[in-house]
Amino acid sequence: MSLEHEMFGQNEFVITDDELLNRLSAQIYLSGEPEIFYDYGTQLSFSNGCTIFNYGYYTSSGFTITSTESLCLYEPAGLVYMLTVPESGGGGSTGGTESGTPGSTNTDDEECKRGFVGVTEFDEQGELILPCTPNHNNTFDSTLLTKISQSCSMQMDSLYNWGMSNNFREQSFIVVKKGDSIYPKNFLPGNLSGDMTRVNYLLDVGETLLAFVHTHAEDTVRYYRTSFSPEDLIKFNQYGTIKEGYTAIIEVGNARYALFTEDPQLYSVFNIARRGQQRKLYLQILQGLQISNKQIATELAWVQYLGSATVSGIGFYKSTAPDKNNFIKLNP
Amino acid sequence: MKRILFLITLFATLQNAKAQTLEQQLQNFPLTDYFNRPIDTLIAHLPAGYDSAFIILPGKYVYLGARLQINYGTAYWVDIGIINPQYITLFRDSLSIPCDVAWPLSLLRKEKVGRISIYKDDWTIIKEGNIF
Repeated sequence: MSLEHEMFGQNEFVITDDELLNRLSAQIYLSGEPEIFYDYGTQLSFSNGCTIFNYGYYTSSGFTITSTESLCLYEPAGLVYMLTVPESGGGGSTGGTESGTPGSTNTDDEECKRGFVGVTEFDEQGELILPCTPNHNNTFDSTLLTKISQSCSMQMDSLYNWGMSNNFREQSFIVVKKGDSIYPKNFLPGNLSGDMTRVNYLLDVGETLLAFVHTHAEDTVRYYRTSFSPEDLIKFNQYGTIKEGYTAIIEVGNARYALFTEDPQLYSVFNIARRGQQRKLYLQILQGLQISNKQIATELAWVQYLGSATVSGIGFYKSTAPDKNNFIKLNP
Repeated sequence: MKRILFLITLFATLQNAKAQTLEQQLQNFPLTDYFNRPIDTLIAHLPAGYDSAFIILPGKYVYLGARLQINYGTAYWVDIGIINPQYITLFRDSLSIPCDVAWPLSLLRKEKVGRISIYKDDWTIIKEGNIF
């Protein structure tokens, strides 16, 4: 089966015939012939949950996959591989279906150092080999991020929906900790000028700032559920360079994104090297991507901008509906 | 006599400005005096020492113009947002259009100031204000 139609302006397709997926994977194993070609940023979803999505970015060492969610890997040459990568990383499956058996893991240090987690070879049984356990810094405890998101999940959804209904793109609040409690406060509606995100950081006695949260309640073509803007980086940086665990979350309706401070010292060094040029550098990356789906474009731009969290000190996370508290890390 | 007094006052002010560090000058900069006035006016009164190469950036939306970033080396920078643009075209059609082409500096300088933020080092705000 082939998709012979060019669909201008369409980036997402849902394919309900799982048989296509099965035949697709078999085809690749047997012949290595490319089966599906699609533009960068195009998403093909199968009803069994597998998504073909070129979810990564090009570097001098090749195409780097940046997600550990269930997906189908895409290689620059046009080959489409499918596997299911468990959230903890480290295993592949043979058929792209959820019932696939774990593949073997390559512990090649050089591959791992490059953060390359694409599929490059098969083992003796014809199963896919992951070049290494995905280098997504899984040793870092991101439980706090989940807790923060859970503490205000309903509020984020509510503010997003309110913003969509009332044409206010950006609502904000902060999340604080007091004793054992984590809770949201200081809700602010957006600014109609669109020039800035307003955030009220005022704390009461005994409260510790954990996160600032805001929405991008807009799904027009230009601003289709976009991730953080360069201006959001400024807001994040106010505390991101000094507080480990400090988090920025953005609600875009079908997904949530988070910037999570894993190492404030590293992030400070990262910032110093880009001092006064950060927004410009991010925009240069974004403008170079040429991806029509702006949500994906901004997502990939942040991955490229931040690079490995072991260098930038910042983890870039995403969760998707329906469980938007289940974050996966996007940058290596 | 008045002229002499004026010159003395001016001299004293200049001497005082010299004695202040750049950070002090930026902290004491009267932001509110420049809201609703052209960016050019603001630039004319900023403390000396800023880089001649200004950076033009989009606003909160990457398609929506524009704001101006003025650096003092790598130590300080001033971020200027506009209000009610009259000279630039607010939206650029494509991200492939560079910011300085979409929103030319010569036109942007004529726009009125709506927001000013002054940063130090790693994005520490040392002074900010807006009229929104």
